[in-house]
Parts: sequence; structure tokens; C-alpha cells
Amino acid sequence: MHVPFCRRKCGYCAFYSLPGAAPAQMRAWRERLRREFAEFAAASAPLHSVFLGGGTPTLLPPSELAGLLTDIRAAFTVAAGAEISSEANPETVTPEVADTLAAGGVNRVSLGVQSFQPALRRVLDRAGDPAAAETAVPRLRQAGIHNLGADLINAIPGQTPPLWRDDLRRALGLGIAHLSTYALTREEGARLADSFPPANPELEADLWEIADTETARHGLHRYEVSNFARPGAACRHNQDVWLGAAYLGCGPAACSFDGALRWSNPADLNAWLRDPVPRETDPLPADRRAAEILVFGLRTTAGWTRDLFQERTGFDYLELRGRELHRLQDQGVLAGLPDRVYPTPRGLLLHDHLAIELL
Amino acid sequence: MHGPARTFTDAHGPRNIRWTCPLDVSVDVRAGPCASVYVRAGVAPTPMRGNVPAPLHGDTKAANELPHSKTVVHVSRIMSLPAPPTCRGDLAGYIPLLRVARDLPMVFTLRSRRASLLMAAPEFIRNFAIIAHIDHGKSTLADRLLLHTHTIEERKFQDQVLDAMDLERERGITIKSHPVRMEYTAANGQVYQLNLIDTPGHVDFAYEVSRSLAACDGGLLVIDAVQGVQAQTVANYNLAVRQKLAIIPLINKIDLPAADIDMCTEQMEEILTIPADEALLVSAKMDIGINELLEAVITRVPPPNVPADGVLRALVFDSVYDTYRGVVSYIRVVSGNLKKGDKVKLLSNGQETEVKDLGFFRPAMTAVEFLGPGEVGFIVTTIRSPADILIGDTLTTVMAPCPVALPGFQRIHPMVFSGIYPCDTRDYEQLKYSLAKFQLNDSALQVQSENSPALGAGFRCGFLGLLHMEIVQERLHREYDMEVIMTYPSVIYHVYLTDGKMIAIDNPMHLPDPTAIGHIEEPIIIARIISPSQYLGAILNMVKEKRGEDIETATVDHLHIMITTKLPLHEIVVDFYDRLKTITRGYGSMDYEPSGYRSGPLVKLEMLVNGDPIDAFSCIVHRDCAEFRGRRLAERLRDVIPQHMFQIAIQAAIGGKVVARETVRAMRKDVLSKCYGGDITRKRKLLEKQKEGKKKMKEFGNVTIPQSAFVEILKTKQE
Repeated sequence: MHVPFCRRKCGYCAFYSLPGAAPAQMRAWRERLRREFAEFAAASAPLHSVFLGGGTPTLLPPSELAGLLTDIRAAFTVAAGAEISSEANPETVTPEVADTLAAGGVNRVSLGVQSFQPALRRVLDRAGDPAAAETAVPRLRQAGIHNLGADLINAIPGQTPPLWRDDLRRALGLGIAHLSTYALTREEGARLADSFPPANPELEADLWEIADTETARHGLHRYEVSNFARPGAACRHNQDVWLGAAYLGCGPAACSFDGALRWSNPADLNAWLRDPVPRETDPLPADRRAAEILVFGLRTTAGWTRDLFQERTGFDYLELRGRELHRLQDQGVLAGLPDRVYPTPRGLLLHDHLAIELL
Repeated sequence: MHGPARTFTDAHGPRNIRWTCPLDVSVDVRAGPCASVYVRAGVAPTPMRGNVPAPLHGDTKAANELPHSKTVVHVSRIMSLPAPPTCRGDLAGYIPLLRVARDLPMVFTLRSRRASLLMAAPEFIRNFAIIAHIDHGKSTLADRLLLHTHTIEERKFQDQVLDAMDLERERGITIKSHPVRMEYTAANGQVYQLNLIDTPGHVDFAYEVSRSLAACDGGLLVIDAVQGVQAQTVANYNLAVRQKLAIIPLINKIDLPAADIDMCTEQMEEILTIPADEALLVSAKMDIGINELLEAVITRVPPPNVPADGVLRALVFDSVYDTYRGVVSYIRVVSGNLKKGDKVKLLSNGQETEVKDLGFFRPAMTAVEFLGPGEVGFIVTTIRSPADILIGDTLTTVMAPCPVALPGFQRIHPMVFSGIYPCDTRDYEQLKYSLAKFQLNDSALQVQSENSPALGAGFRCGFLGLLHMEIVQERLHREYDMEVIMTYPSVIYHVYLTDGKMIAIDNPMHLPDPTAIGHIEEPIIIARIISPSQYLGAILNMVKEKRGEDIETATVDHLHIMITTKLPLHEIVVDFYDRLKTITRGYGSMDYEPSGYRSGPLVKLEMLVNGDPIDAFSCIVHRDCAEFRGRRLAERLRDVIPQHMFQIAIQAAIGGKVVARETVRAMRKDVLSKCYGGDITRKRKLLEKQKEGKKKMKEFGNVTIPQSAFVEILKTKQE
């Protein structure tokens, strides 16, 4: 679910969102969302995960938030034990919001911290009190949500290894089970993208290693390029996305995959409000689609078993890209062939390289 | 028997072509209702029917007994007429016939408004070239002359009309010769036929320039009023003097605020020993002094000197390949007449062919039936391969060939060699085809297939010089869409083996084992550098670094000096000219000519990437600078080879001994960190774009080197 509302738009962010949206827009959004649910509900299998992202889902007034969660359950069958995640800006997590989330069935919250350092937050152009996360965590726990995670950005201009270590320790000190951290990317559409100095792969590699060391101390392990979790706490929703499972994205700018075709909604609220939604599709021949799924699955440290890949794509990866896979294994970036294939720690750092070879 | 000179008047007013009587008219019955009529004057007529001598009608004897005279106008034209006419006599009686002919579409020679373009006697022809340093306004001047003589109309005007290739226009240089015919009514009322031959303006094309100049009787020496005499001005002036051309010096761009005419005249007197008062002051751009210039062409350039024997001699001074017509050769008829259907031959190789078409440029190709003595134009023959018509060759008739070839013919030999390989080995056939096509228009380009251990199948190409090499590369890219890799350029070394044999090597790869080599000789050039005096020290340093010998300096004027030195050609092949430009802030100019071979302590420098020698980077260098050169190359390679997943060692080795080493460190991180929100499509497309970029690189073992590395490595590192 893409919730396209934010209090204000941060300079580094390229996700689609409307800062300071009016209540009327939120109502129109929810109304249209219900119709989009209806459009797909009949054909949809029971949901194993729900993910509210954005934007800032927790910026919705509690009544809207509760209503949204009700709408989802009304339209779709949510499987028992499903993972229901929401992103949250720590400042927006009032006791009321925490209770609303819990009451709506949300059992996993990811807090968008990005950095605890005021100076680095200024570089990112991210407003808010860095200490808010420290308040939000106990509130969520109190409401009954224990599967908590935080998002941090690394390689922010000015961020030294000690400053990074400091951010990690503060986040991990919250007792979280999950950590997402990606190196600052200069993305088209982000206000500040062009003002950031060029990336420094050497420094980023150093920060990567620091993240490995610090998370390990708290029992978290990297399970994807940018994600760490305690055993069993990996985000099932995102894993499904990386491993080629079908998912439905609703709301403006949301992306979907039905197992063969990918499509995306327009990154424009007004365009998405139209009927029918002018969607953009990404058709691809089956073998190239399978190669794409192979590549994105290799973002996870567990990678593929031959069977899972066969099940998700209908292809045997050795028939599809055997020569390339073996070469990459010889180069030491992949391992596990033939029955499994997964990136080595070095291979994960060089994922783009192997992606280019395999696509 | 000589009649008086006549003025031929028609609806367009008097055409001051002088005809002398009698005229002989014969009829070609084979042509059916369209008869061929031969009009000959003042020369013992041997009319041809097709290519077979035909009996003359009328007073054959009288015509055959005509004495030759230099003042006599030689007119020889074929006209196709609707019915066989039977008239002979003097021109007055022939005029009605001409009028009939004029109205026939096929006789466009006579329908042309500018009869004098077609029928000039040698005394009213002036053949001249424009010679200049690059950028001194040669093409602008040519454009101005075309406008001034109404050869082209203002509205159809496009800058640098004669530089037909985009590349020529863009770089402001002329690569091929472009002859163009103009009509000019002089102050004396006489209409003249002017043939301007726009010559290539670069030292690489010195032979072509010399042949173009040989087709001329005069030369306009253009000197830029701001820049003054430059190295190439001197070189081209010397070439022109060697061809005994009448030189008309002119100072161009006098309209510019920075114009310094005194400096120019001083330099002319000092360096070229031309009296200052001979110079004309011109601004081609602003149309200043053009009339005076054209009058000077008439009065100071002599008319063509035509040998009186009437035998056909024509100088081939360039050829181009036209997809529809085949080889189009540019010629200057020195003596005799040339017409369609003539059986002709080339003296250098005895090749016989037939004239299919001929004409002149205005500036578009304009067909005529005849080219007469002194005229410049083009011919199309049955020869399909440009390699069979060599520049500088003599064209004559099969029936009555001239006994001796025109002077100055040479076979040109490439000076600089480089391997050309397709970036993607699958493009080999395409490259082969492109080069073959390319050669059609550039007979100086030598192509041989070659195999490189590192680069696969490709071609060894020989070029006249550096500019030529650069032009070939650029045109391959531009006109044939070929991505190629060019290897480190080489010259021809004479390698004397211990067993006394000599082998010529143009590729370092083929250098024999050092133990088998007695000594190696390398080609030497004489370089002439002109620069503002304050850069003398820096230039001398570079010349010494480049192993310059016999260095002489001379004063050009109180601000400029000229340095003459002998240098190994190899030393100027890569970065000499660029560095000269840098050192002299763009004011220095250079020209060179070959000056034999010299022995030297030369060794092969090999570049190894992860232990594998990459022959594309190998070169033969002087032992004393091998280490320095190796270090420089290794540094350059380190900068241009992208990081890989593993460390890359770059080594320079001489005879197996490593003299320099650089390392490209392994890339540690190469991943798009962020991949949420399910937006796989966008990420995949980014990766696919990177993959496309990678395809343009060349793989050596497991190291991929971008094409740009091969280009970069040849450039000077700008300090």
C-alpha cells in the first residue's frame, strides 16, 4: 500500500509523496483505494503479508488509518499469521497511533530514523527530533507490537566511520529485531540528488563492514544487501518481492507483479484517481523475466534453491544461465551450485556486477 | 588560311570567344538523325567518328596543311544535331547552326549562358590554387571568389562550398581537392575561364597538394593578417615555388581589429623573400580587395603553356568515388583534346580505358563534350577501382600516346601504421566492408588484414600521417558507424638482422628476437616549427626530449622564430603536435617532411595487463626513454582502466624486464543498495543500461578495457 502523504518532503527522498495534503485528498485517496482493492480482490490469493509504505502511513489521522486497515481486511482474505507491516516516522507515533496500528492488526513496524546525528539530518534535509525513535519504540511495545525495526541511511556526506558506528549503536540499542540501511543514493526526483558529492565506493565498503560488525553484536545478520534481522525477523514481504513472488501494489506509484507481468501505477495522485488507472506495464519475455528474478533473488544472502527458482519462474537456473553462474562462482562471487546459488559476502557487495552478467 | 578572330554574338550578348577560320564540319552517319559535327579551328584536323579517324568532308588538304600557331584558338566540340547538316566554311556561316544547336536540350553546352566556360582558348584560361596554413581563410576566400564570379548564387550559398564532407566543414580543413570553374570578365572586357583548385591543406597530403599545384600555373598565398606566416604557409609556399607557380601573396582578414599588416609583410620578406609590395590586402569575409585579386590572377598568373604537338596529355590530380558513376578523376589537360568515347590509357601502369563522361565543376558536376588544352575538369572512365587511377599519373590516348609522362609522378607510401580492430569481434566483416568502401575515396589508405593475439582479427592500416589517421578513425565512426580500436601507432623501421638481411617492420609485434637484430634504423623527418619567440626555450626542451638533432633557429620577424630540426618520425607520432600547441598557447605551428633513415638504439616496449601483453599498446622506442615512456603509459592505463572485481596489474616491460608497474585496485562495492517498494522494473532498466555500456568495452582475458582507453592512451596527459 503506498500512502502518498508526508508532513514535508525530505530533500534526499525520491519516493512519491504529497507534503501537507488536505483531508479531502486523503478521503479521495481512500475512496479510490477501495475501488482498486475491488478491482483485484476476486483474483487474489489469501494475503501472506501486508505492507504499508510511503510516504508516511502514520501521518494519516487514526480514524483514516483504522479505516484503511479495515478496508484491506474487508476486501481481501488475510492469511492467518500474516505479517502486517507499517512504516512509521518516529515523531508521528503517538500512543493513539500505536494503538490504532495494533488494533488494526499491524504486527511489525519499521521506524524511519535515517540518522540520529542532527548535522547529518540537516544534510539529508530531514526534519524532526532524532530522539523521537527512543520514545516511539516503548510506545509501540506497549501497544503490543514487538517486531520492530529501524531504517538508517549510510554514506551521508560528512558521515565518518565513528559517526556511523554511533548511529548503528543507538539504533541497535533500542532492542530492534530488524535494521534496514542503504547507502545514500542520488536518485532522480530527489530535490538534493544533484547537490550530493559523488559516491565513494571505498568508504561505502568500509561502512558496510562496520554495519556487519555492529549488528552481529546484537544478534542481527545481513539477509539482503541492505537488510539485517534477528533470526526469524526478516521482513517476509520484502523477501517475497526479491524472490519473485506475486504482489499487488495499491495507491499512486505502487508497483505490482503477478508472476509474469510487472506494472506500476502513475506517480501522481490525480492521475491515479482516474478510472481506469493509467498503468504502465513492463512486459518481458519469460526467459528474461526469469533472469531478472534470478538476479533480484541474489540480493538475499540465502539466494535460491534450485527448486524454489523452478517453482517461481518455471525455469531451471542452470539451463537459463548455467555458464554465467558457474563463471561467477569461479570468480568467488557466487557459491552453492548446483543445488543452491547464493552470493558470497564479497558477491553481495558486487551485486551490480553479477546482475549485469546474468541479466 | 587563317581567318580573323571573331566575336560570337547571341541573344545573351557578345561572347568573346575567338574563333579562327576555317571550320571543318563532318557528319557522323552512324548517329542517325543526330549527327556529330566536329568544329575544329587552327589545327590540323583529324576528326574522329567514334574513335576511328574519319575522312574529312570538304577541303581536307587545306586543313591538314594549316601551320600551328600558339595564338590560334583550338576549338574542338561535338554537337548533336537533329539532322545531318552539311555546312562548312567560316564561323559566320555556322552561326545559324549554333543557334539551332543551342535550343536543343541535349546540347546544353551551347545552351549554357556562359559559353566562355566551355570554349576558352588557353590564352584566356587561368589555373590557380589557394595555398594557406590551416584556418587562414582558404575556404572562405574560395567561397568569396565563387560568389564574386556568380558561380554560385548568394541564396544557395553554404559556408565552405568546396568542403563537401561534414568533417571538412567542421574541422575547417580540406581533405580532398576540389576544382571549380569560374567565369570572370576582366577590366579589359575579356571573359576568362578561371579554374580554382582548392587543395588539401595539411602536410599529410603533401603529395596530393604537389599534384594539385602541378595542375596550376599560379597560386594565391594566403597569410592571416593576425597570425602571420605559419609553418604550413612556408611548406606550401615551398611546394608552390618548386612547381614554378606564379605566386600572388595576399594578406587576408585585414578587417579584423587585431590585423597586423606590417608584421605580415615583414615576415613575408624575411622568411619567404617576397617583396612586401607584391602583397594584396584582402578580407574574403567582408568582400574587400576581391576585384583587385581577380585582376591580379589575370595579369600575374600566366596562361597555360600548351605543347604544340597536339598530343593528349592530361594530369590526374585527384580521384573520388561516386556510388553512381564510379571513379571520378580530376584532370588538367596539358595538351590535346579529350572527348567522350576516347580510348585512353594511363602511363604509369599502361591501363587502357574509355572516357565515359567528362566535364567540369561549377561547383556541381557539369558535363561537356570536350576538354581542351589548358582546361581543368573531371573524367569518368570504365575503371571501377580508384587504386587503378593513381594521383599524378598521365592520361593520354591509346592511338597516339605521348612519349613521355608528365613529371612528378610518385607512388605514395604511408608513413604511419596502426592496427584497426572492431570493438566487437562480430563486427569484423562489417569493418572489412567499411574499410573497402572507405578506400574507394581514399586511395592513400593502405589496408591489410592482420591478427592480433589480444584483439583478434583486424587490419593493419597505413596512413599518410597523423591527421590522416585521425580522419580515418573519425569517418569510420561517423559515416560507417563503426566502433573500432586503434593500436599504438608505429612507423616503418628498417631492421637489419645479424645475417645481413633487412626487414621493414611496421608493427612492433613482428620485431624479431633482439639477438637476431644487428641494428635498427628509424625514419627521420625535418620539422619546421614557427612560434612566438618567448616559447623558444620550452620548444627546444621538447625537441631535445624528442631526440631532435641538427637544431637550427632563425628569426622570422622581431617576434617570431623558426626552428628547424631533424626528429625521429616516431617521436612526433603520438603527442608532439598537441604538446607544441599547449606549450605555445596555440600560436605555434609545425610542418614536416621525410628525411631518410637513421640508426638508433631502439627497443620494444610491451604493456602487460595482468601479465598478458596487450599488443595494442606495444611500441618501439629509444632505449633511453623506454623506461620513462613505460611509466607514462602505465600511469595512463591505470587511469583509464575501470576498477574490476579483482586487482589489475599494469606493467611496462622491455625485453621481458618489467620497468614500471601500476595497480588498478579491486572494486570493493558495486551495488544499488536500495531496492524497496517493489520497483524492480526501474532497477533492472538501470542495470541493463550499464550492461549496454559494458558491451562497448574490449575483453582481455577477464579484464575489460573501454574503447576510450585506446584513444586516451594516445593523447597527451594535460599537466
